[in-house]
Amino acid sequence: MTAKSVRRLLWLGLLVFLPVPFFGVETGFVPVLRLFLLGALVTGVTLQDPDRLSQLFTLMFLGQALGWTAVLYGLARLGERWLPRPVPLAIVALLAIASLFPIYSTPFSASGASSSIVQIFD
Amino acid sequence: MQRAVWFGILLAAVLLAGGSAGPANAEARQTCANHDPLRRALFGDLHVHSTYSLDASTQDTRNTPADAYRFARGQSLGIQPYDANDEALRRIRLERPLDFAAVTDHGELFGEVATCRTPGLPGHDALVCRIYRGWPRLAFYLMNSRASQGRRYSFCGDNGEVCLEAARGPWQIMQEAAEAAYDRSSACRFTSFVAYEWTGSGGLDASNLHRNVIFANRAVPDLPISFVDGMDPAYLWRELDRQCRDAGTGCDVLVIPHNSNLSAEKMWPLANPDGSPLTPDQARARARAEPLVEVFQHKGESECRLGTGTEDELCSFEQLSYDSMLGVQNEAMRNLPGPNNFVRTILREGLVQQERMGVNPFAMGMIASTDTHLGTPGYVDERRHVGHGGAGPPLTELPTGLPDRIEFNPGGLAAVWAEENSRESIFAALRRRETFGTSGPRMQVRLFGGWGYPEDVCERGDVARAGYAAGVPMGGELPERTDGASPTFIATALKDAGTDDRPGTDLQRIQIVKLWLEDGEPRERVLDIAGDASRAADVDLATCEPRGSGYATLCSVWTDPEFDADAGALYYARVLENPTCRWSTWICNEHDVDCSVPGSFPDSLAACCDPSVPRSIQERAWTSPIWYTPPSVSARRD
Repeated sequence: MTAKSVRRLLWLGLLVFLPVPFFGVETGFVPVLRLFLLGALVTGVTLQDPDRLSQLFTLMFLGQALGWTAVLYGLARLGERWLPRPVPLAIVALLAIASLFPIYSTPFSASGASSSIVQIFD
Repeated sequence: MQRAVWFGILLAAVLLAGGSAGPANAEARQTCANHDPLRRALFGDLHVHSTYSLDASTQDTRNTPADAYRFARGQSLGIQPYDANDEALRRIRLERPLDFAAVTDHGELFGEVATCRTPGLPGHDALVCRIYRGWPRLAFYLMNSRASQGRRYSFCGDNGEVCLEAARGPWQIMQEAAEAAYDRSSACRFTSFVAYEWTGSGGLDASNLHRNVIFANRAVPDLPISFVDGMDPAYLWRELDRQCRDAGTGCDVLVIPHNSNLSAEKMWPLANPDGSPLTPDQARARARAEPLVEVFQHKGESECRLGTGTEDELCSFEQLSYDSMLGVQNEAMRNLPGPNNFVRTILREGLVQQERMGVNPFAMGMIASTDTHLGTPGYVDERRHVGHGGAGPPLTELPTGLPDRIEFNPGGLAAVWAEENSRESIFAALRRRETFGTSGPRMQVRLFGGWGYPEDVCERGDVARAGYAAGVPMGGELPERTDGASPTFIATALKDAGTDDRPGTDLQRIQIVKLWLEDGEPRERVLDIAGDASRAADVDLATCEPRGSGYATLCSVWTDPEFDADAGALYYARVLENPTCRWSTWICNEHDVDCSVPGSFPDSLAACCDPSVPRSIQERAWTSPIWYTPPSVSARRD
């Protein structure tokens, strides 16, 4: 596995599984992927029916999603450079396993305060 | 002769036509067998949401208005969550039925919600409807924020006609449910009102300008007049005049603001947006439309707040520490409530405005209600609180700990003094403000004001007769002053009898809250006039068993010793029970939460150990005020 592949895998793993803080009307800890999903939905609504608040929602979701994407890319780069080769892969595996437990605190979800990855994308 | 016959036929036809075209509110009903000219206390809930409210439906509330009325009448009801077979996992029932209720679903998004839920309706496949079905919590914010800007989605059509047409369905169902629940027999067991909530917002801070609109009878506008139609409460009042009161249909209506505690001080503007003072016409319009205020409900108390324009220590009851709806969801966006969030400040301000222009825009009586979003009117039991949804957490899973935000509460009840349990009688009581609100218990409180009640009227046992004969009840205005007298008040309270299994709590005391003007400045005084606060009655917080005793009844005659006939004043009574456990204490005890051992209980019970949350409360009632207007001011009224 090349260094580039390891970096990409780690980055992807972090985007999909790592709970990151979210600040908005509600707060929580969710994977960046979920922020992108919510952002995509709200962007669709905003394009169809633009108004101040839907634009604010769009900015809120996509702004934080993009910000975290950049931060996690930086982390993945550092991980690829400084960690021994199996460690980034182990991190992704551990995150994937942990994500099956209710480690996320999900804003804009009707499924309760703590959720697993399955629940929040259900 | 033939001409005379034709004239007779014509006259009969006109009379018949006149009869059949009479007001649609001619409430065809049998005379109530239980009619009391001295009036009796009836308890109800005038703030109830069902599945037709966006926020309720996005929390999976499935109960309809008809279900809500059935619950109010004493039948058991399933509430969310639901299992795979759509069976409710919780079932609750009132220990005592209510006397009256009104389902007040949010009027703004009837059409949008109906569209998103009904396949085949135009707009059903719009993206926002897909989000509603798949991501209800997100839809709750998106759709509410759209409505809060007075705008509709494009799927509603250029002028909103698609959604307005779709709104007819739920509005009709609400009317039919109210009609079906209304007991028109001589037993007069239950009264329902057609109603809805006007869900206004003060801007980006999501300040709460909400008002419930209660109709007197079945003559109602074609559609609810919503915040989307007009974003100013004055627009609502004007349209209610046009489409209801002045429509010649027999329609009558009143509007009840609620949760001023969450209004960021915008519920009752003291001046126009351009800074100009309120005019007498504006004051009259407000006073006519809004004779009452909901002073207590699920989302806190709005009477007063300790340290915010008052030093009254009993104003620390069921307070929220933030001043708008935004603060409910997000701690980072919280501001402390200011004085104009509270009814007591505004009642005082009403005296100031009245002295200035002769009209009091804020002459409001008091009620309380629940604001349940589960379709469960009157479910105010501290011991069995199931949460009320709405602004609380989504209730789509069985709660493992506290079923609601810890700062919320089970809500209260509206009480009226009415001759009988009929729409006509109860609506008249609401209109004349002969009402009081309670934080849940069904204590019966009377307040009369006059110019010389005998001091022994309590011992005579005919308080009501004497009270009406020589003065006015709560909500009234003192008659013309006689012979340099000071106003005298009779206040009585009968404790909530409770049930055989669970008797009510003893009363502790009756207080009079006096608000008046002194040199044009508003003042307040709170006095105990009956009972004894120094009695050592309290509650064992470990078991919730009451300790010590109070009073089953209280009665007192009180004359204002500092009365100034040249200054406007008002007086209302507050009645307190002995302390009891708060709802959260019942649940925390039930789960044996030991705050000295962190980690010994789940996160969902962590709020049990929040030191800022009181473990006991004093349930209470607030009566409508009785006003005194000095002759110099009343002369300018018209």
